[in-house]
Amino acid sequence: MNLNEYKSTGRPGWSKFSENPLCQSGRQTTSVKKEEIMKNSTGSALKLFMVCAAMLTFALMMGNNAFAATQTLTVNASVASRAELTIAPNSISFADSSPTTSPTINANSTVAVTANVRTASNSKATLVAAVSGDLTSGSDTIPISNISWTASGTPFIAGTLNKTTAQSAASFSNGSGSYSGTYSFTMVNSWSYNTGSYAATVTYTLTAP
Amino acid sequence: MKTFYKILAGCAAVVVPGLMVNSATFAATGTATLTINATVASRAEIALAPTTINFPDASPTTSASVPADNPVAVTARVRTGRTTAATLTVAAPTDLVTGSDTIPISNVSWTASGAPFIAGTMNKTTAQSAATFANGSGLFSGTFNFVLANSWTYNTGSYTATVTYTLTAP
Repeated sequence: MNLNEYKSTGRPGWSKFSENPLCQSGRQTTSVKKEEIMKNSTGSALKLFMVCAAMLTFALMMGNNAFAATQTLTVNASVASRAELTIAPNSISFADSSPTTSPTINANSTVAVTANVRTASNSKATLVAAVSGDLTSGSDTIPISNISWTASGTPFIAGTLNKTTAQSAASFSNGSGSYSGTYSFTMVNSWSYNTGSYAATVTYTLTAP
Repeated sequence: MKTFYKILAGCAAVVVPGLMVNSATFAATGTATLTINATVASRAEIALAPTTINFPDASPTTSASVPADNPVAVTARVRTGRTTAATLTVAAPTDLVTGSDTIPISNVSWTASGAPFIAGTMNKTTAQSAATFANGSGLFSGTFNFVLANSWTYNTGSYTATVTYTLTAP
């Protein structure tokens, strides 16, 4: 495409350009090439501008997705009060012994106790030992208050069985936890006991408020 | 119909969280039982103190009976069934002896203080009861006071006899 063809298009500005004396001389051909170069350069710049704009727009869009968009996730967990209590063994025995030489008798075994507790951070669990009656053998009895225990392991505590009032067997701190300890039982021996095989059942209750 | 579903959804929104809160606030309990066994067998123990007594020499005229130098404290410890009674007997199989001389053991008798102990007289053929126990177990304390019937017929000498007390818990 030459200058005349551009002129024939009637585009504004080209008539003035053609009236320039330089364009009427022998250097006309060179001027046309410059015009073409300028035009081509202008087109390349336009294309470059468009590409940059597109990339910038894309980058801004991507930027919105990476740093500005938010999504929330609500996570719920329910932790209810819970109490689990295990003792082992669940039966102990006191052997016959002379009260003269053995004023107290140790049980044949210690009792391992494990208390698992879930409760609020400002409340504390309780562990009590309740017994409904004395040791009995037919119509004979041995006062259940003659049986006491010592404890090892926090928060378990020593005590004496009582048939009218449940006795505390641990002193928990506030909050949840898992606790293990041992009870060691002794029975006061006496010549007043009639012969027989005596038995009583103690119920331990762990409460998580 | 839409209104009904809205009301239902509203109620659920109120009730369900309420149930969740309540389930979290209920107290939980765990229980475990411990069986306690105790064996009490028949058992009997007796103690005397002192274990030796002496009758000093005395005139039969002024001392028809001679008390022993000391009373004897007796302690009986018994374990038996509630329907059975312990027994305490004293056996004196020989007379008081010194060489070939003797004083009949039946000349020795005793009184007792403290239930269930009882008075009696030694007998070398039959063990004598020294207590009358009630049924059942127990610890009993008392005192025996011994006397010797004095006699001008006794030859001089230092006489000795041994008596045996037996406490039985059936």
